Amino acid sequence: MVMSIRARLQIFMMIAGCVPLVVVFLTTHTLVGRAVMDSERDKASEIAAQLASHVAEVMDRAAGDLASLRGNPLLAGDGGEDYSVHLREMQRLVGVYEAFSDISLYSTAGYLLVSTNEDHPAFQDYTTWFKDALAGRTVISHPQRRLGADGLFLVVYLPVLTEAGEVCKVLKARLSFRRVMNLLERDNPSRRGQVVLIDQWGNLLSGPPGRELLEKFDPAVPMARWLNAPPGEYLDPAGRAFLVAGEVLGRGETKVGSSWILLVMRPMEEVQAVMRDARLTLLFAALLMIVVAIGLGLFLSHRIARPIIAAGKVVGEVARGNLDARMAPGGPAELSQFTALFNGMVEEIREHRAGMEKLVRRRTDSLRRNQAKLLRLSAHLRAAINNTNNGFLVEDRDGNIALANANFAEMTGVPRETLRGPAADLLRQLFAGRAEPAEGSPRFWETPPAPEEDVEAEIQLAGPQARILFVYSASLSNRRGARIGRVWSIQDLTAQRVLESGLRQSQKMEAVGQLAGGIAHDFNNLLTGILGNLALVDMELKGGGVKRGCESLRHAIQAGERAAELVKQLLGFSRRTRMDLKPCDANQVLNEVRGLLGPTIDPRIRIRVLTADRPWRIMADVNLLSQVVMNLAVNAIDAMPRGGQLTLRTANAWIGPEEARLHAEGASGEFLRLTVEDNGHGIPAEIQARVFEPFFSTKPQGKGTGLGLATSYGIVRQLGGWIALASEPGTGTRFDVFLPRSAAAEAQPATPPKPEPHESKLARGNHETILVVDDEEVVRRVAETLFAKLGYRVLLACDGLEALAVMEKQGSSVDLVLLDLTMPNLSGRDTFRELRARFDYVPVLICSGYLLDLDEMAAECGSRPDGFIQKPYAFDEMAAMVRRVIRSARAAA
Amino acid sequence: MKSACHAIHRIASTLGSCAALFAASCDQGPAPVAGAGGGDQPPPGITILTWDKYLDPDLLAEFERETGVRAAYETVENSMQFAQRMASQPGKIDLVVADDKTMLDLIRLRLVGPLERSQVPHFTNLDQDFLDQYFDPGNRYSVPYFWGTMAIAWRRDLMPEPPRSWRVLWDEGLQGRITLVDEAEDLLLAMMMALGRPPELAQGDSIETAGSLLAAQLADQHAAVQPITRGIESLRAGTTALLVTYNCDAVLLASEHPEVATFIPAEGAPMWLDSFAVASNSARPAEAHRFIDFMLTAGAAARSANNIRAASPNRAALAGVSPELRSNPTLYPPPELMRQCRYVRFEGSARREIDRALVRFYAQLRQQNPEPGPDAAVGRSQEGVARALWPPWTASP
Repeated sequence: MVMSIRARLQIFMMIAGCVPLVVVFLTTHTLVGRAVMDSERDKASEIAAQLASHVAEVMDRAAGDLASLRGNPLLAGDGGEDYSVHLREMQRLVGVYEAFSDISLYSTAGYLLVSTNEDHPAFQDYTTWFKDALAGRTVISHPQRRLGADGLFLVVYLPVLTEAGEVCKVLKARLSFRRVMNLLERDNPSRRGQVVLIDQWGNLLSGPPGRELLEKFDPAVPMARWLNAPPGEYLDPAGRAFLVAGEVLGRGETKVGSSWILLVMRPMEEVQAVMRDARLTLLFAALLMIVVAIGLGLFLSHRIARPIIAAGKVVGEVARGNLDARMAPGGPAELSQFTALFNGMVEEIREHRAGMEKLVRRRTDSLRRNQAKLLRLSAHLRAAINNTNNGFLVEDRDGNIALANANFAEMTGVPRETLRGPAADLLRQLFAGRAEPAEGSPRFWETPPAPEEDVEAEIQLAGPQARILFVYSASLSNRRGARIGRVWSIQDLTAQRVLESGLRQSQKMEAVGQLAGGIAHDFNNLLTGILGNLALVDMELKGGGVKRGCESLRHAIQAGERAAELVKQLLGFSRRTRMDLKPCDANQVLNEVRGLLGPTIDPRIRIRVLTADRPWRIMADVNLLSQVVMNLAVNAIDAMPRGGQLTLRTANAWIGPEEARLHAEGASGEFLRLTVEDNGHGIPAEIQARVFEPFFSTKPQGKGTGLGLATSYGIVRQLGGWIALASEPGTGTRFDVFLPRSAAAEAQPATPPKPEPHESKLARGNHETILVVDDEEVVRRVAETLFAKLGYRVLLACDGLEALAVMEKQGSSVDLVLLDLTMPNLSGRDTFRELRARFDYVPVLICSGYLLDLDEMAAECGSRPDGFIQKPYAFDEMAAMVRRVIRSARAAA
Repeated sequence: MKSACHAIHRIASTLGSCAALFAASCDQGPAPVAGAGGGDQPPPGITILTWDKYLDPDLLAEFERETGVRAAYETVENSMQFAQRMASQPGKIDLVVADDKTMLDLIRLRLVGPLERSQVPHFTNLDQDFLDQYFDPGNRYSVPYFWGTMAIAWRRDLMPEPPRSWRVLWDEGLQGRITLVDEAEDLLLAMMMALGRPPELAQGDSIETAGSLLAAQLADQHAAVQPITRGIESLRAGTTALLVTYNCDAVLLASEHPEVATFIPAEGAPMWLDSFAVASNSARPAEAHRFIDFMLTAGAAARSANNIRAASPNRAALAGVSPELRSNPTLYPPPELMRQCRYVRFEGSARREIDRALVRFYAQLRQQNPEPGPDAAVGRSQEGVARALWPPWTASP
């Protein structure tokens, strides 16, 4: 608030008048207070001094009176049993010395001999005062109360001396303290004032009426306060204020061995009444001075302020735009000068303003045109943004939302009106806890991007409006390259993703179908081998050709073993079974494949095997390699529906760098080449590149898996080689399999072919008993026949319950249990647990069509089976396994 | 030995006729720690004034361990010393343990100060029956410590079983074989109870009758009046068959001597109550309060009761008192007997009657044993009463 000159002048005058007044007032106030204090203290000191002298006088007189008794021969005399002489003398003394209320005589042992008072309470004296008296000193006690009497008493202990100057008795005289109290009451400083006497422990010796003597004067006040005795204010426990002056009476003055404190207390009300008069006078003077100062201020301000106020009015007119206003000339010299200057200045302003107004009009027109242009442009931009498919949000340089379209609100599921404020806050609010970024996408709502950073992220929104969004954000710059904000664009990928997911699902279904068809195809091939050969056996046996029948039978068994091998591969498909690498003779492999295929295929197809004389040895899993050749051969056969020639060939090949480059996986070096060639319809050039893809098949539905070539390709790559394809439609196809020559394999002999199973060579039993548990009757019968032929006794059970029943009856004679796992009623695992619990001495051999990990089963059932053999089993393996288990069980027993 | 000294104060508080007693007690107990005038500086810790062996030293040590405040104590030989020593040595004593009659005097002389109850939270452990007594209504000053009554101890092997009554004192078969504790006022009260007159209603004639009875009993039965230690010795040695004394002394003697039995007469007996109070000029009132509170805890009070062998007014401590003491009817009388026991304090005209009766009683004693010792005269008035007060027991031991 701005104060007027007039107000300032008035305030100044008031201060000028009041400051001296306050100074004088305070000084006088203090002086009056101090004077009153001093007067009170002087009064107290005077009283105290008087009192001290009175007390000293009383004490001195008493001591003086008693001094003459010290050598009193009547008292000093030995009374024997009769102290009547002493008593009469003491009664006389009480009469003479009016200060004494009674006198008693004590022996030096402290016993009361005689007293002038019948109610004397102390029959023996134990005080220190008495002991001091025995030492020859005259002692005065502290003031004390007495039972059965009012007021306080002092006790004077006076030694009575013999003629030789020895203490023979002690005289004890009591003096009433009343005389001292009377002195204090007489010297009260005022009507309502008090004189209080306390001892150095704060006990009341004389004091305000109504208080008990020897009580604490005020326990709340520490003694140091009184001992230092400064004059000052004191609030008694009832809350009354007193002005207190104190005087300490030292031991020398009290003569009782302790200090006393004399307090002269005057009610503050009385003291204040004195000061009140002085204050009233001062107040009156102050008011007068203030009135004078205000009057003076008003007068002066009027004189000085009037012309300034008039000038102020003209300035106000000019400020409101009236440039014709002018100050009137005249007035004091300073004001005249000011008036001339001011009027000249107003004239100049008036001229300048006319020029300025013209300029402003021109500029305003130009601005208006530009603004219209900008508005049109802005409308286009806005329409474009609002009509785009994407959500769109623009933030300004400070990170606040400048603009957002309806799609943005719709995609993020928030009302458009709420799209304002800091963009980072909005993004956090929209996505935190609700959005999950796709792999590799940043959580941009948690850590906002750096100013120049672009954001690309795919996120999944949870909640009722679940969506998949693609978020793109980039910094915005103006033409000069300065950053002016950031744009956020959101694309809804939800529908697209749904379509993709459907597509994937249908592809998966197709793949499964192809796989099933492929497996069926492979199995059909093998079944063809088995059934065809068995039919041949039948034929031969009917015709009596036993030798050729046996050969066909062996081929059937081989085909069956291949089928088992295939199933093993299928079971191990997900486990990626380890390759069993061994030195391998490729010629043997080709012969074996021919042996398998020969009798079963279309007779219009001729098989030709051309083997190298000394093929280089390779390291390979014979079974897998056979599978590769088989796959290629089956494909070749399928390519020749009207017959033709299938050629299987081995050759050593040295691959040079140039030749190696012809094939993507090719390498230079020494390789064994396995070739499968046909003269069928060939492979069209456009699909040659795809034949190794998994599930790719040109065969009708159900005839191929599309896995054959893919699996072969994988096996060959695992062996370190590759497959090359050359085909011409109408002419034929040729697959070359290149496998690296192995120096290690050269050093070892090739794995000999498996010995043919002969019953006579099977490990035989020794009349032991085997319990066969299996729900499949065919399997039970095979096992029964086999074990019977091997010289075992055989018991049969169709499930776990029956097996346990058999064990209950004949358990002691059973030497081995052969247990299937997949059975009705009681599963194989539960049966195994029961067997272990009840017949733990019998070894259990698991026989199952599934792959089984013995460690896993041990963990599951708490005990490890004694062995495992997979179905279908070879007789020699089974015979050996049974023999081994029985033997080790016996050894353990 | 607490009991002996404990009883002595009663003799002295009754009448000042105990010159030889002091000689006797001073021979037995240690001299007071500090009799001479003290300086202005209070000693570190607190100082307690009470009878000899009336505080358990282990508890004092435990208090010091717990609080860091050393608690020493000075002893008195009789209750007269309480007031005199506190008056002539202000600030030196912080705490006293005194009997009910002495406590009344200390309060009236303003030698003990008001109790800050807020600093004694365990006060609530005390049995209401022992609070708000005649000497300190509302317990503004004092906190009870132990209580008891007068009782009779007798020898099973020296006399047939007596009736449970004060009348046994007139049994002619016991002539010359009765000893009374030197506690004339309490003996006088016992006489009034024996006569079936409530002492609190005592008037001039009943007091006179009781006084005469007591004097006559002494004369006819040749009973001895002896300080407690001598009385106990007589009973133990068998030179007396029956002793009138305080219950805690009687129980102590019975526990030491197999042939001594005790009882409280069915007519009732005078009671006593010892209490703590803080000296008005104590320099350490806070510590003194703290000590009182410590002694009021159930554990400390129970240990005191067991070690000092006196009855505790602390209700919370009773569970910790040994069953042997707890079940002793002489220490904790059954309720019907308790109703017959009471504190007695004479005031005003009754007081003067009692004093006169006691003067006559001691005159009687003097006639029976006219052998006063040196320095034993006690003056009562200019009428020469002092000459009548030659206690017979002042002959030097």
